[in-house]
Amino acid sequence: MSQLQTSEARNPGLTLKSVKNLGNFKVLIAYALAVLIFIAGQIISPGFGEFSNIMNVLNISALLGFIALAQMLVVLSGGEGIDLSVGAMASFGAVMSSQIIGGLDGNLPLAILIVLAVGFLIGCVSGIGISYFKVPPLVMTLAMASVIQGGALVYTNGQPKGMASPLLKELGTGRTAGIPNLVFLWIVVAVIVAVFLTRTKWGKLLYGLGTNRLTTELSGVRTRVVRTVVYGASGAISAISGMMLLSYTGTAFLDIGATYMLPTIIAVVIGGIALTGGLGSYNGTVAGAILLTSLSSILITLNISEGGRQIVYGIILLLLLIAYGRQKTT
Amino acid sequence: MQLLEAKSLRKSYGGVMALRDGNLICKQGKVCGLLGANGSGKSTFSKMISGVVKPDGGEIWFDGERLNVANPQEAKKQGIIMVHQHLSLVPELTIWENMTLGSEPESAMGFMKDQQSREIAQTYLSKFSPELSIDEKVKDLSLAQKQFVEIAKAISQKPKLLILDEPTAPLEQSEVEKLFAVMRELKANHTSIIFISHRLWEIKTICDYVVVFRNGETVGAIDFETEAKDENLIVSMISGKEHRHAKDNASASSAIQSEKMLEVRELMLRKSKDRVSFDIKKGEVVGLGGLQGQGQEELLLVLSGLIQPKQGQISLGGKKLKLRHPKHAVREGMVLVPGDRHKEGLFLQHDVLLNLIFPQFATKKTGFFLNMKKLKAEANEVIGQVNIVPNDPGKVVQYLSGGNQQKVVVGKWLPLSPKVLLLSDPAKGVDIGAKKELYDTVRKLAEQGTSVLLYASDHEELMDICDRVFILFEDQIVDELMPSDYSEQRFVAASLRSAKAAGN
Amino acid sequence: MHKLQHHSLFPIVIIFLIVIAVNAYLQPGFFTFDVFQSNLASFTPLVLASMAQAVVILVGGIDLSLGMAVTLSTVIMAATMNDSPSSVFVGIGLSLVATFAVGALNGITVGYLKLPAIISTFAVSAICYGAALLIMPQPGGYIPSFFYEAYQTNIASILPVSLVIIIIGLVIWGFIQRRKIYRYIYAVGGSEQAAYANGINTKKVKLYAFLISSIFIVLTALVVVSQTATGDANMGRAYTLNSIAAVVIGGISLQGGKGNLIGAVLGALILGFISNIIFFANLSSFYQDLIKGLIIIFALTLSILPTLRKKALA
Repeated sequence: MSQLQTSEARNPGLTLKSVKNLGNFKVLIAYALAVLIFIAGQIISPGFGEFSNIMNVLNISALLGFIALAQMLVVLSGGEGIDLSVGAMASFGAVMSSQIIGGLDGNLPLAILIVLAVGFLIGCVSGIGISYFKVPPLVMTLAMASVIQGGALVYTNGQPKGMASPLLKELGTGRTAGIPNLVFLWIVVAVIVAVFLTRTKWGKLLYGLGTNRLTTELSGVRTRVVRTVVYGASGAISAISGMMLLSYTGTAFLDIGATYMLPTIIAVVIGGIALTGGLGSYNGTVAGAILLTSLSSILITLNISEGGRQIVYGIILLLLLIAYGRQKTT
Repeated sequence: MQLLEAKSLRKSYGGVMALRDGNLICKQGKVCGLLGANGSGKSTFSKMISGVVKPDGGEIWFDGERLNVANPQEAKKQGIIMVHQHLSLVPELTIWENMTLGSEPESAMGFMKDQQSREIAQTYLSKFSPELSIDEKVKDLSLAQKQFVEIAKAISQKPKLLILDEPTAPLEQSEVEKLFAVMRELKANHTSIIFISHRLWEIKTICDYVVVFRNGETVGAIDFETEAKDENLIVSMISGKEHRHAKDNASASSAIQSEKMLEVRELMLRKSKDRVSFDIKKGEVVGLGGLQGQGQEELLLVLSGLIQPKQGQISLGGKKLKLRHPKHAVREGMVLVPGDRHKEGLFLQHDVLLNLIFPQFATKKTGFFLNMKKLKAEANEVIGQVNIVPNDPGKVVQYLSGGNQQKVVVGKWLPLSPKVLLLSDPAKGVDIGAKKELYDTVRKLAEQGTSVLLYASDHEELMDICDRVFILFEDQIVDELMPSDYSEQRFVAASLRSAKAAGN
Repeated sequence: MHKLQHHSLFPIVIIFLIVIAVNAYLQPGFFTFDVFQSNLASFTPLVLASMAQAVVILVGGIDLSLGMAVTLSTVIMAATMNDSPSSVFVGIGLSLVATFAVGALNGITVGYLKLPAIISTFAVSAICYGAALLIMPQPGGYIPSFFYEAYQTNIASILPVSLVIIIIGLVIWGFIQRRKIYRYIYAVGGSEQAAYANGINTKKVKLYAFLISSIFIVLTALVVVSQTATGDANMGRAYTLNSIAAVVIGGISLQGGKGNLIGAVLGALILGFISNIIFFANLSSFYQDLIKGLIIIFALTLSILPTLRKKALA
């Protein structure tokens, strides 16, 4: 801390604005890179930068964006927060939705309710392990991922049944005025999240908890309860995101959400959310999701295989960590 | 013969002078007592000699050569070892593994010679505790035993100069005698020792001479071999000139109302068997004094609800409280300005606004949706009241000065109109102007009926603003000073003499 | 000290005996040599993987790339080996190089660049997975029969090769135990600050821990290819979580610096017996993941409880 102050003494110009702008700067870079990718893509493979393809990419970005929201809340809450069960939870949400809906619109409300409730409860189990039994978040959620995966197997007997209903399919694949319906939904979600984070008590509590747990506790907040609820919320959001995956694919399979696991973390980091918690906005995560999806899209266009893409993801995450994820030596 | 000479050592941290002019001569085979109040610069000084801290200026001569060490390892190679308080022990390793850690004897093939390590450990440990097995894990040892291991480890490396920083703090009388026996043996082998302690009888027993620090300067030395061991002289050297405080206590006391606000009964802090009981009246400002680490901070943390006492009762305005979480204290209006504002009091990376409105979330004052306009107006009001500069609620807290940061920590409680304000060394690292403003705010609150319990490591601060001061020693109130008693000398004597009393 | 160690392993030994008893009751011919040998052969990979994980956790880190490092190593072997003995050596040699490169990458990022181990090893995991997929997009490859059949044989018809490999692992650890690095791993894991204060190069110790771990990862990979006789980029994933679970069940603290490699071995054997029990209890295989995950969480919570109680008392 004293280092911070001395550097401040040397750079009196460094003020509030520059800190906030640092976050915004990362977001701007993410958007700029996404645009660059589309331009480069158009040059390499004509059609890549066209409106309809951009909309396609945004459509898939929305799916990643929903699950990344779950990841973001947990990372924001600090305490080495990370949720490695978002992928498994999304898969479980998808197969649950598929079986409950069974192709009928009338089952939608029930499905939404059950998926949210189950997701929340399972998330709370992680939260309790983490905040009351002090199990490191990473290990706890990794183990929960295995439980959820196993639960999905038991629930489906290994073969998910049912499918999305027409209304759900329309949401996932339909377009209005050329823009995918999921993108509209994503915008609505982003606005709600922004209001939640900046205009509500719980949003402020989340930032407080993520920045400094002890200060939050001494301000009279039961931080363990808050942390448990955060993991519950992450579970609920991942699970309902699974329903969105179903809306896009029509039918569910058991590891439908697995490939989203690593990208959620990268999207959150690209978006300027500090892995130490307490700083950042969903706006950044949205940018991260779009950048990552357009990157993987161009890698596919370039005929780079899944293996090559995984290596690229891994290297990007390492570089991001080196750039702004260093552990503070105390 | 002199082993070490330090000449006008200087050090400042971020503009604050920690040491202005440190001078000391270590004589070969003698024990030098290093004395001084909290913050007098003696610990900065000893850290410089042992290579932990780099001096800004001055010279150190050791064994006839100019000493220039960058880290403790180099100092150790030169033969200077400082024993810190359990910083260098790994709890999960055994005593013998710890004692040779980093300098394990090895065979030519690079295999550890554990038998040799064990012999070294046994030889030096048995000087202190022959009954203690070297196979015990350090985590299972008492504080005193850890201290012995730490010192035995230092001695096993055969230093020319050994610096012992308050080694006797966790020791009992008989253990202190053992330590002194070892120190005498070292003396006989021509090892020089710098001994830091607050207990005067220990100083008189073991030291050959003392050097006194005050306000970052060496103020003098007494050679016990030629001069008398005058306790009063030592106390006055530590505390400076005898001066009474010309504070007009009349105006201060006028705020005190007859109504009792906080009643504490038989409160047990930490593991000590001693209990704490006291009352604070409405509008009264009560100070907690004494040496550092005598339970002052623990008392405040218990009252804030962060740690739960083993036993005891706390009542506020006649109502018995059950404090199982800070939430309970905050809702009753008993709030804490903690000792470490960065770790416990602030959201450094966020703006003043969030910091100021945050405590309201724990009470039922705010709903789910926040009225940001109203909260901002309130925050602006607080900024005005405590005079945070600049008066911009959007400023990120980590870029404020220490004083303004502390004003934020105090200010965030104002909208809750606290009944009891607990402050833990609030002026630490705060400049003089901000300190005055801070204490003005505290006094103003007292006049409005808030009771204040203030711990400060600086006696001057306590004398300036408190209506009464409790002196704590080992989790117990051992003395109570009224404004008529206020003088630096009285404070030092109360803190030290009680130390002496307990030592005997 | 020996008494204390026995004491700390005591609960694990009890659990170990219980799972053996249940397993013996459910699995026919449990005490015959053939069943012993086949059980041991199937448990060995996790035993070795847990030793690898244990070294990293002891130094205060965690290795989420372990499963994928094993995968990469097996895929390299399956892709390079054919019926000639020289190709076997080339395969093993190449996978050694790859595994140590992964270990070095982890050690440098965690030790020297001070990245949080939980995320940087996760990123390295993606790189290993990608590399494995590039080498072998579809499961396949070739493992010569003399190579994998050797794993099922017994030396002097009494000593199963799988047991020999575990013993080799333990001998390597025994060698390390007599070097300074062994004590430094515990010191850095137990209190990095104290280790530093004693002049120990904590960065180097972390790097070495990951490199030592790589030795056990290569051994794991050798055993895994001998069992499966193919390469598959999705094969090793489960070893990451299972090895962490075995280490935790084995009484090694996730905070580092506390525990014993023998505990990790016992933990891995316990998990192996539990899988056996689930299998022989005729539970649907669908329940395997679920029950395993629940047992792991249960074990995690149990293992962390004592430290919590201690903190509450302090």
